[in-house]
Amino acid sequence: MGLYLRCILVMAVVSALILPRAARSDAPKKAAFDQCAVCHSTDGSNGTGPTLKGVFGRQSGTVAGFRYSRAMRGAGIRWDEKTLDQYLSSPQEFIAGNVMPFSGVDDPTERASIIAYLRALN
Amino acid sequence: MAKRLPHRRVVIVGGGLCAALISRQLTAQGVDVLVLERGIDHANGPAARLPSQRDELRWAQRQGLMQNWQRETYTLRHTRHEESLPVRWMGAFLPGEGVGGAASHWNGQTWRWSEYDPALRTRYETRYGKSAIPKEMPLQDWGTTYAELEPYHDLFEKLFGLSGKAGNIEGLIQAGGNPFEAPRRDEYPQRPLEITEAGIIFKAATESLGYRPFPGPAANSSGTYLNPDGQRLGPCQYCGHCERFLCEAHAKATPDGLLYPLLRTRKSFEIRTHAQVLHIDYDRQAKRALGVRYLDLESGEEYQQPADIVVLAAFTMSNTRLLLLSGIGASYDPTARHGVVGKNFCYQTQSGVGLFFRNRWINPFLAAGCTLTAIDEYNNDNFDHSALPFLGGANISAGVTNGRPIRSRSTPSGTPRWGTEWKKANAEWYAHSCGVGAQGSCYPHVENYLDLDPVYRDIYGLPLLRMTFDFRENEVKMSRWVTEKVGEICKAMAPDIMGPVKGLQGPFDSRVYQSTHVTGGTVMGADPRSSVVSTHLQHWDAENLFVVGASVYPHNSGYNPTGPLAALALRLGDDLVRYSSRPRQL
Ligand SMILES: Cc1cc2nc3c(=O)[nH]c(=O)nc-3n(C[C@H](O)[C@H](O)[C@H](O)COP(=O)(O)OP(=O)(O)OC[C@H]3O[C@@H](n4cnc5c(N)ncnc54)[C@H](O)[C@@H]3O)c2cc1C
Ligand code: HEC
Repeated sequence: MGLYLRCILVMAVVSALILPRAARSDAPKKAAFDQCAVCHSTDGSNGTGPTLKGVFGRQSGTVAGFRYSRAMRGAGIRWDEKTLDQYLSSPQEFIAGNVMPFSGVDDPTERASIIAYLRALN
Repeated sequence: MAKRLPHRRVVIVGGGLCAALISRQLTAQGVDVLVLERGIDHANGPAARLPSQRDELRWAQRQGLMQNWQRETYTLRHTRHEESLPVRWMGAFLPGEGVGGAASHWNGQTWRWSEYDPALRTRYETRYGKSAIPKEMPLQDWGTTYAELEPYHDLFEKLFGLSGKAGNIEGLIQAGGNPFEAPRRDEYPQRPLEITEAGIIFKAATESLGYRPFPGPAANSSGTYLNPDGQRLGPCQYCGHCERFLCEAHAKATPDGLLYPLLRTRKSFEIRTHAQVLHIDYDRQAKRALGVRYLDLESGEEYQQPADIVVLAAFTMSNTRLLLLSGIGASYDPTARHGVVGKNFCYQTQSGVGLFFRNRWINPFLAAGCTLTAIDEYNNDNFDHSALPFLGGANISAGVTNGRPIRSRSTPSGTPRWGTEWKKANAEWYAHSCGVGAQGSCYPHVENYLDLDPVYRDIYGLPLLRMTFDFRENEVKMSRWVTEKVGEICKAMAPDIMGPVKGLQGPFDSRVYQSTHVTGGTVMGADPRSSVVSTHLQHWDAENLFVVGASVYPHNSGYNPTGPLAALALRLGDDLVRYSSRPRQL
């Protein structure tokens, strides 16, 4: 079997394993984000909250044109898997005095799918 | 001289809930709509975001979102033999001001009234005989039926994403819901809110007494919701800042959150803020409204706004007052029992009992505007009145809606009002107290009415609206009887301390908040001799003038008022689409 064919076969096996899974988990990701969508857009426009387009890797409190609280402006956090997970599990504990009117997401799997969804936006 | 503006198709006075619902229907068909609102848009202001949203002193105590009493108030007397005096600071009810109206800072308890409410006179006469209704109680049928309104209730509840548990789906009684509920086509759009600790105690007690408790229908979103217009609600955070506040979490359904943002994207819609409407221009010969006059509160400029169709949607008090100021329809005269504008002015009959549980954590701060658990066995005509000396009844509920630092200070009776003992009692009972309330019907009385005050004027020089109102014999007796039932329930809840069991007593006290549920004044009906507007809300003396809101109710039910008035507003929107293409008596 040539290398080329082996590659294709491996890829086929991999994609058979991964694709359906990705397709399955795509829907719940978005559904979990629904609870954020009332305040956060993913298209670059600010609403009640700053847009979350490109939030992954972004410095906290830096979207132009959004009026952040002093707490968020001064937080100095880079948003990644870990910090988003900490913030979303208890926004007030993680950044005391920030004004996101949302008490957090208790379920770790739900948080994970939200974070995966945000990451996919980049 | 008022400056004359370009003519418009439909002009709506007041930018609250009804105006938004009517506009939604009209602009969907491309009909030109202009809304004139006296207040401002609070959507991006300090009332709508943290931390200023939680400023109880500013928004609740000092009424930051309500009508400005220095500009316009009402006068009050309890009987027509007294002198009326202006209420300098209204506490009893709080008309809104600003885009969204009172519905921007409401609690969101959204009831459908009893199926028989629109035909209440017929109901009582058939059940108890013609003489059952006292002569001084001008109850009248609305000329429309619940069945006609049901599709609009359904639409409103889907637009506002109500949370609740159905009690009656197409005639089939549902366990866990309100068995007395008017039949609905399906379940509520969202599951009920979380039950409170007070609700848990109330539920167990009422069930042990054989009643059927249920969660109150709520315009506070129990989850994430996308409405048919593509507008979103977020999950309620149970922060206890609904009533008198905007919701910064977008979890409370309001016109400013769900309807005006949509309307602003529609080409045929315009809203002007700072527009205080003073007068409806009326051609007496032609029996037509010509348009309205308004003052721009920013510039001080007066404008004449001509229109083909004028709609009054400015809340009970302004609706009635604008008709009186403009001389449209005859002012009600209780001596001659003649005239219609101002008659059937009603309020809400409230009473309650305070409870204190040493070992239960009520935690009142964990609440929403609609976290209530209720029973309807003694509401309206859900029970037999044949041996009782009154008509009507009340919804009974354990409703914990907030634990705010200034307002929520229940202490057992006998506690001093200040000082060390008061502080001690506060610390001891704050987290351990709740109340069971009765929200009762209020039926019209020939001596309760609205008219123009002969002496006092507003800041614009126009006569104030005068309330001649008190709780009359029927309501006092009803309240006493229902409050006894509340007392029995409270005993079954086994508190450590229980407050006095007292029904509502007159005289009506304008200082104490009771509810913003004032109704009547421009009532609807099938007979022009006893109503101001037709069953389609069309003014009998001006075919192109329409009035909507609680002012069209001929009586007040034992429920909050907004469900049916929202249904009426949506139906009016559809009626106006038809009327606009072919004006006629509907
Ligand atoms: C604190 C509070 C809590 C409430 N809770 C509940 C509840 O839980 N359940 C319930 O069913 N109902 C509740 N209500 C009542 C509910 O808000 C009203 O029934 C509903 O808003 C009525 O809608 P509307 O369109 O008739 O009037 P509104 O929504 O009040 O709109 C009327 C608008 O007209 C404007 N206006 C008045 N006069 C003029 C004028 N001359 N010129 C220009 N504009 C004018 C006002 O500024 C206002 O914006 C509550 C009200 C308050 C204040
Ligand atoms: C009711 C409105 C609301 C909801 C719901 C909401 N947020 Fe927020 N969010 C805000 C506001 C307002 C801020 C700004 C807070 C500040 O300035 O202190 C914010 C800030 C943030 C930030 C920081 C952004 C930055 O630019 O630094 C992140 C990340 C975030 N939210 C994620 C989420 C996620 C994920 C959800 C859903 C699970 C969510 N939010 C739900 C209103 C909301």
